[in-house]
Amino acid sequence: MLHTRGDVISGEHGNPVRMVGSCWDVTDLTEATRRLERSRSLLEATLNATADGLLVIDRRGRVAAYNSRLLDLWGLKSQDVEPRTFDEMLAAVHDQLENGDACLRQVREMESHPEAESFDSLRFLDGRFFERYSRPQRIGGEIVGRVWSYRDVSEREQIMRRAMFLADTTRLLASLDVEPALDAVAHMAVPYLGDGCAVDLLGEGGPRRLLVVSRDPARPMLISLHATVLAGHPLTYNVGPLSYMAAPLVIQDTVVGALSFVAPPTRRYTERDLELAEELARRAALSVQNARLYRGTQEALRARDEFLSIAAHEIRGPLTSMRLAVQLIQQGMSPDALPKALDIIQREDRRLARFVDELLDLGRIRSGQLHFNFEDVDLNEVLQDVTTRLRSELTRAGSPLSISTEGRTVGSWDRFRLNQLVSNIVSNAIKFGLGKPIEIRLRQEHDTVTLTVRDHGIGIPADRQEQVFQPFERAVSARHYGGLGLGLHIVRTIVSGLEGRVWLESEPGAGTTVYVTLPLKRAAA
Amino acid sequence: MNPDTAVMIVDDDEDVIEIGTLVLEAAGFRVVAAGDGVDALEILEREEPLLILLDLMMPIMDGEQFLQALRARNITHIPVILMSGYSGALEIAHEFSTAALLRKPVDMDVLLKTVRDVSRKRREEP
Repeated sequence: MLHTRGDVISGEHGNPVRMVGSCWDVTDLTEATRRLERSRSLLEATLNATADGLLVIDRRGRVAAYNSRLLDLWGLKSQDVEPRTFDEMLAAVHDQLENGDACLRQVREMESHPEAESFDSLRFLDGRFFERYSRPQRIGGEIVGRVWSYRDVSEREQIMRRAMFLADTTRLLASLDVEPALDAVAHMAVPYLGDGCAVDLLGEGGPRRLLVVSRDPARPMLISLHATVLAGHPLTYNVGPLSYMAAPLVIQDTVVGALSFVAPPTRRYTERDLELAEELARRAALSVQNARLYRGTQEALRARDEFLSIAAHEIRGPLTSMRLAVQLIQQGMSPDALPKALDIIQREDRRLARFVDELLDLGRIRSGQLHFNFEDVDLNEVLQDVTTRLRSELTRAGSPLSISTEGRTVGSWDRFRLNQLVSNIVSNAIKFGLGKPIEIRLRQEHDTVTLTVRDHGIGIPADRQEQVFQPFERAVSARHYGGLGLGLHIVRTIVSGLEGRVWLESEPGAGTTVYVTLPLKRAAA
Repeated sequence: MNPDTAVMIVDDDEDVIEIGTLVLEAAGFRVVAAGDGVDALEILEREEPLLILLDLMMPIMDGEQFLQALRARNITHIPVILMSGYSGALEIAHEFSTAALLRKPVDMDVLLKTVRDVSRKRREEP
């Protein structure tokens, strides 16, 4: 491409005297200009397309270039502010930062080391988090300024902080000592998740506030648990300046408690906050469940050991008597003592057989195979049989027995199981009756019969009265009273099979009364 | 009967008391029986047996509590033979320095030999 030019050269009076013509080949220049335009366009497009905020400052601290993303990040509008110097820009954002002074120091540090590169982070008061990189700008070998780039990593930072928070709390919740663990978690949640954190556990008497942690002890968190949460639903709600959220602790579809949080006045809980609270609640619930399972296992092991120890005791007693009786006979004892020894052997044989029956019944109850053969049975007759059989035990215990009945009381029951039921209750009255009177009453009313067995013995503390119906449970120490602790458990199982009801009233030191009501006819029959 | 030959059996199992009495009487001892620790302490106020055959698991006052009661009353000169199947019996035997520990079920000759040994030792004491 040629660039041509012609000029007229005028004389003294303005008359043209000469003409000058010139001609340049501008092919290279035009190409260079076009390339420059393309480069500028590419640079601008790139600057404005990047997600990072970019700022170029020259050696004198003047703004050489910036992109629109930078203004967005700094919350500046290009029409309001035309940034001219770095200091002006820094002054505009200083108050938005958690530590504006540190940010300035870093800038000054870089000004005094033009060749250095830098990387640091800026935390904003509103929770945003930026990473800041800078490196020198060079033309040829000469440093002419510095390029600063800012990247908003708030989301990544939040995710990381949440992950770290969850990791830390999970580590705490791995403890089997669940209440101190929940306390430590609540202390970690304040202030990360709010100004206050409360942990409620649901017991038989309703929710119980286990602990409260408040950022300002002078303003404790007083909000009580919302009914929605107790019904198993997480929620957030805002009342006036207050933002609150709570997540239930759920174990196998059952609400066992809740975590609740109250936000600082400047914060409103979001869905994401609630998600985090729910995740924390899930982990806390697992911890509670874990601790419960562990306690259950420990308790089961203790019960097993105690069971084995008692079972051994129950066998050793009769075995001792039997062995001594047999060896005494073998050694040739006096003839008048022989019937006594034989009686003992027979009694011990029965004791062991009863013991084995009890164990077998327990096995049947456990596997749900306790079967009933229903036939017409006279409960009055069963009662007479049992008390006759227990006569010698009554005599030994010294307990006078009185029975009050209304004659035949016939119902559709299982004779053997009914016998066992009455026998277990009366045996308990003898065993724990301290040799005091025992009263048995049998009353029929409409289609129901009620058996009442009252003793005046040691009684059962209130907190053990329900437990004595559980297998291996006893209201007394196994060191003092033998037996497997199955009697009332078997009673309850039989009563339930006969569609009746059993309960007791008792006072320590005053005695126990056991009530059994049985329908004469089964509803199912 | 010579009071010096009396053996006290403390056991809540009536059958153990009955057969124990038969065995010991056949061997020439007199037997006094108590169903628990409280019974036994009452008897001790009236008479002093040669030795005590003691079970551990009993109502009202168990064997260990009975041994503590003896210690509290300074009754340490009457030898005690523990006769029990209780798993903690060995610890209790050590704790109270009992004369012997017999595991239930016990053989008659072992029972008699132990009772004879302990009672001989008691008689030989000044």
